[in-house]
Amino acid sequence: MNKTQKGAWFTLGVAMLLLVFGAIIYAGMFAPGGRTAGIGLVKVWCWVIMVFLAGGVALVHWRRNPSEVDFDERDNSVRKNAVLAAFVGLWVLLFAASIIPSFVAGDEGSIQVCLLPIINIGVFVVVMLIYSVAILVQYCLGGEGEQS
Amino acid sequence: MNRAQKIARFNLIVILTALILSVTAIGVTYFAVGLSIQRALGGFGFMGITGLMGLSPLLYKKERDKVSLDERDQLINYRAVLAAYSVFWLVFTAACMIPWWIIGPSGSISVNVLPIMLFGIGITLMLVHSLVILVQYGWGIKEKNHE
Repeated sequence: MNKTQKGAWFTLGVAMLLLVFGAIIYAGMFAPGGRTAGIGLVKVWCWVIMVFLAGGVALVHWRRNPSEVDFDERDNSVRKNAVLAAFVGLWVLLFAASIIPSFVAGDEGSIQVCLLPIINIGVFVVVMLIYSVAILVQYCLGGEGEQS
Repeated sequence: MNRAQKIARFNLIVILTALILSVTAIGVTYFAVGLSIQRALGGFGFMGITGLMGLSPLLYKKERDKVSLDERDQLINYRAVLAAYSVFWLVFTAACMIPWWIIGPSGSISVNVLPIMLFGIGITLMLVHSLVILVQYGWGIKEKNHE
C-alpha cells in the first residue's frame, strides 16, 4: 500500500466517523431531556475521532522502507481523476442542496440559517469521501501488482 | 493566443461585463431613481449575460490540423481548476457563515437564496479559472503558446 492509498484510507475513515458523529448530534438535537442530553455520547465520539486522527496520521507517515517511492506518475494520474470525481460530486451535491429545500419548504418557504454551516460541512465531508473512494477504486481496478 | 486563452479571455470579458452592468443598474435604480433596495436588486438580471459563456466552445472551435492541447496546456488547466477549487471552498464557507453571523443562529432565510448563492459561487469559480489560465500563459505573450 503506497502513501496515496494510506492517505485515502485515512480520509475515508475520518469522513465516515464525521458523518456518523454528525448523525448522532443531529439525532440528539431532537432527543427528549433538554440540551445536555446525549453529551456523554458526543464526548466518547470526540475521543474516538481524536484517537483515529492521531493513529491515522502516524500510519500515513510511517514508511516501512526508506527507499519506498512516495509518488510516481501513475499516482499523479490517480489523484487527478479523483479530484475530477470529487469536483463532479461537489456540483451534484451543491445543486441538490440548493434545490431540495425548495421542494421541501415550497417556493415561499424559508430555512434556518444554522442549516447553512451544516450544509457546508456536510458537503465537505461527502466530497472527501468521494475523493478517497475514487482513489481506492482506481487502485483496486488497476490491480495490486502495479502499485508503487 | 491559443484556444484555452481565447476561451478564458472571452469568459472573463462576459463575466466582467455582466458584473459592471449589474452593479451600475443597481446603483442607478437605487440612488438616482430612488427605488427600494429589493426592487433595485433586480439589476442583477444583467447577470443573465453570463449565459453567453456557453457559446465559447462554439466560437472557438478546435482546429483539425492543429494540436489544440499539449501536456503544458493540460497542466495549466489542471492548476487553474485547482486554484478555482481552492477559492470555491473559501467562497462557499463564507457564503454559509456570513448569513449565520449577520442574521444570528435562530434566524431564517428564503429558500430562493440558495440557488442564487450557487449561481454566485459558480460565477466566482469561472472567473478565477479564467484569470488563472490567463495569468499562467502570461496575459497574451505570444511565444510558446501554440500560435
